[in-house]
Amino acid sequence: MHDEKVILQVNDLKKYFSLRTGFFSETRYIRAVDGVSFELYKGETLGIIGESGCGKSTLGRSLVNLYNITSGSVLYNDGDQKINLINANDREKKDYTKSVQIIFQDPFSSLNPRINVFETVAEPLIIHRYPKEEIEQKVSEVIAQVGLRDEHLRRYPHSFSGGQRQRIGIARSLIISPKVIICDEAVSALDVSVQAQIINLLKELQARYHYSYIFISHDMSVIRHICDRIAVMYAGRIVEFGTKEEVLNSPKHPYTEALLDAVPKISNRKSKGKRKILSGEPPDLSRERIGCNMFERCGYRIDACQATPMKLSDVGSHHLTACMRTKEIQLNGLSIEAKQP
Amino acid sequence: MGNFPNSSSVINEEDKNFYYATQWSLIRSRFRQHRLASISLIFLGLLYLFAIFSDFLVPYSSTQRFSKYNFSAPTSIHIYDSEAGFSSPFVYGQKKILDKKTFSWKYEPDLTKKVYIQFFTEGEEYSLFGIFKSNIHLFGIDEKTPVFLFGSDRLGRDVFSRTIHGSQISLSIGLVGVSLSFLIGILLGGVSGYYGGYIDDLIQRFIDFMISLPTIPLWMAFSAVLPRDWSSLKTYFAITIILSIISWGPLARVTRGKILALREEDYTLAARAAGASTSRIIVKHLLPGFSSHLIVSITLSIPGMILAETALSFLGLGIQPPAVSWGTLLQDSQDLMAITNQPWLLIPAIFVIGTVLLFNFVGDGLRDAADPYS
Amino acid sequence: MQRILEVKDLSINFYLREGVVHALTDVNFEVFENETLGVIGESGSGKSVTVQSILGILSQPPAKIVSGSIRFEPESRNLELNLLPTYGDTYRNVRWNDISMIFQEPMSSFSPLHSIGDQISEALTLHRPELSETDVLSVCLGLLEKVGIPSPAMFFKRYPHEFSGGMRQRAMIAMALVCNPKILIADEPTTALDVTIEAQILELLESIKSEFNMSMIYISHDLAVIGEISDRILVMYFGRVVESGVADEVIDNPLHPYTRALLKSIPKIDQPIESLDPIEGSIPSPFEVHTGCPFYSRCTERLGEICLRQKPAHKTYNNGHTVSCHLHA
Repeated sequence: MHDEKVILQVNDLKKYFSLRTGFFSETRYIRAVDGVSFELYKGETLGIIGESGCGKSTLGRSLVNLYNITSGSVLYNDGDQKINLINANDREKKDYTKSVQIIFQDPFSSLNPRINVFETVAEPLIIHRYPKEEIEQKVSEVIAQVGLRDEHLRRYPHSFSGGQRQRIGIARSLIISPKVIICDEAVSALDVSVQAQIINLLKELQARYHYSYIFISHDMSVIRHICDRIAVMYAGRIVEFGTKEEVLNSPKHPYTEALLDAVPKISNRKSKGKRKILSGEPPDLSRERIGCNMFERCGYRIDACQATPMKLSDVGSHHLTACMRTKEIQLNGLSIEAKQP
Repeated sequence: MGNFPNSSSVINEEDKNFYYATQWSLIRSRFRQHRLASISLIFLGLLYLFAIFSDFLVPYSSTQRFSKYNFSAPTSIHIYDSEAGFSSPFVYGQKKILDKKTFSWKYEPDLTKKVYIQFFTEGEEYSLFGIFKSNIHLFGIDEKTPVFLFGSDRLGRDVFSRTIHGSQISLSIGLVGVSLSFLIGILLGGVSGYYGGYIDDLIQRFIDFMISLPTIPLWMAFSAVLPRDWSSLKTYFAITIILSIISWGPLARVTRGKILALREEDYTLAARAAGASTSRIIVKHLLPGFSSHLIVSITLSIPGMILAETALSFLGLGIQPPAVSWGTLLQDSQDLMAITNQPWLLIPAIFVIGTVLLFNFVGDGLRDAADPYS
Repeated sequence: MQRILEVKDLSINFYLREGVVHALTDVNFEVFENETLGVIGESGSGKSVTVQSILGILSQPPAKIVSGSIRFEPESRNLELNLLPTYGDTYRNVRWNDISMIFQEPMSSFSPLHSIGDQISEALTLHRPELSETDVLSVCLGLLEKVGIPSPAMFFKRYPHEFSGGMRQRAMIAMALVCNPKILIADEPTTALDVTIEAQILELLESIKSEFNMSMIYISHDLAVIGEISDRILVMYFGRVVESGVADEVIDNPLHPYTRALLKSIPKIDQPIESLDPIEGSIPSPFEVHTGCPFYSRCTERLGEICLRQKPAHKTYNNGHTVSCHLHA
């Protein structure tokens, strides 16, 4: 399934946004990503699931240097080069962009409407000064890989459907032959009947070229389908982390349980009443807190949860959870065994 | 759009044009569908053409006087004579007589004197673009009988000739002034929007200050300070600078907003993630997204400039004689007597109104055409 | 069971500068009392146009009801809604009193300039002018409590932007219930919400429906949500109803190739992971005209020329399961 080699290592990554509420008042911070650590193995698909505001998109964008990281480190190591994003110089940063790429969510805003498909897809190569003939050849190759044809190259984005545009976006990210690809909700904005096409395409490409994916989504069914390991994020932190089977079948954090419970299940209809519905709203990210960030909404809370700082602990075979009560409580996951495709 | 990848795509011509259409050609075709705007554009083009070739088109220079024919009403041109039938255009000579009842001078046609209008006649010499010298005019008449298409003014000068001559200054000042204003506005607005943070704050506060200054009094103050002995050309450029220095504020605002928005578009982020340099992002991704908006703003700002110059010159603070602009021509119509007795002196005002309207129509058409893609 | 709404052979066109869009073609369905009808469809399926035409809020022009009828309470009042002038008093009376709606984007459905309380009570004061101010207030506060809003009295005076999506959606539900309508139309109400909030809203809608004795038309593109909440399901594609029936029947035993393909192409969280079978191609452009079946170009079970040329007939099986496909002619 994947190498034992770690290609990307993230340590205590923090991204805070400053909120200036006026000239004379104190600066407040939105703690969008509040201390995230994980390792990405070569060739695997790591899923990051969470709801809106949990920081997964901020995390993804920080990993491609679209945001300046507030603190922590991001180490890239593919065997040939080692880059630490935090103290990288300009050349290293440019090398980094060749190795770590991103696919955006919205096919309608991720392509510049004034540039035709050829130029859009060729842009990464142009930026990195590839020779002209090589550019033409690579564009033609990659466009075929994503299921489009040469005649599409001179056309403009407005003449394509959402699914086709997403393919163009994927082509653009792949043309520079990166090793790590961040898929930031790459299928969420597509029609249901087209999502499967793109999911299959991503899997095929991975099988052929051994990409490592970080797949960010809010859709548990898609994550389950495509990922090897899963990180569950809540309010800027990872609250659970493990292989797909472990996290989905025997979750060790109440939030994961609530997520799994909340997903409408097509073959288990009318299961209302048995649901443990998570009440309340996600927390305010500008307030600093000690203790568990899910405290107010958690059905398993005790007073100590509010006072103990959050920490990811290993409950066996690298299955991590931030819940301090994990050994005392019994959580339910999905009851179906996950079969390999 | 058809299906892919297996079906054979039989694309017809119409679809093909749509698929391969760049943003600009899409905007152009939408503009053409807007009939009012298209026609206005043609008329504007004609106006500018006339301005460029004004020396050739009009019979007289702007300073030529016919002192015996001051305040003459527009000359009627006839092509039909009861005796001779249809002929080429001609005018009757005019006699100045004193109206015994109102004690004012009036002109009456002298039916005995028939003078034909000649085309491509020789008249006063002029130089086109300062290079080509010629003295051929489109039409003219013998020297003793003037033809005043729009009547004559207080000094017996042909209003038609002066109006067309004046369009050179009035129409061009709009363009020059707007370009200057835009250069300042885009530069400051762009820097403000792209970099954000403190630079943005600083520039925005400066713009706040500029916008809060009252424009008309400022224009008047600056113009009043201009030395009277400067040549017309110097005054002309000084006026354009004055106009543009004060009016770049709103455009800078708009530029900043647009750049801010475009900077956060996913495709800009994609370019950054691919390692694009700042200049590449600005040139390739931000500017094109903004240029359609820019063209619309320019087109809609020109009327303001034209009106501003007209106002200044009308008040005697702008262009000074012997240079002519529509504003200076309107100086003569400043009193009630003039308007009631010589209403033809207001014709330059019609030109001003017409030009402003044409620019507004074209601007509207451009905005509608560019909108979905802005 | 009594029928509360009957839509028969409804066809609606949009006349645009670029051409004519056949938004709906021969749409037929019924809604019974106290049931939830789930409408599943992707973009271009016509689901939004359908419910907008029921409420009479389509802009006509550019839309035009070309044929068919929408009958409210066909077995008692038999109000033919499509014949009523949309700006007239009768239709205004039907709206909100009898049929109300909640929308996908709670932020854009509320006016940012007025407090939430004002907006919720407005519907009530307009339809029941005889009620006193105190009565209106107590009804609204009661409703806010019922939809699960904490401290309704404080909530009443605040503005939409002060609340999260989930809260606004609850407020919108309260607003839709204020006149105790017979039909509640929900147009993708949870699509913009997180899944945990979605679960709360779905549970709320279920309890409200039984307490208020309402029927519900629930639109979504999410098959799992539809399966969970509906009694009967309507499957729409490109402006046509391609399949309908009891929810369990349609999901466990889908008849139309589109429904089957859709079920095979979505990842399901509670079933073994198999390779996804996508539906190839994409939804046709809205300006296309199809004499035959609109799904022809993407259908893997098509019979041949007949599917391209001839409109498929409607077949109704004994259990009420209908399908519009040549395979079942």
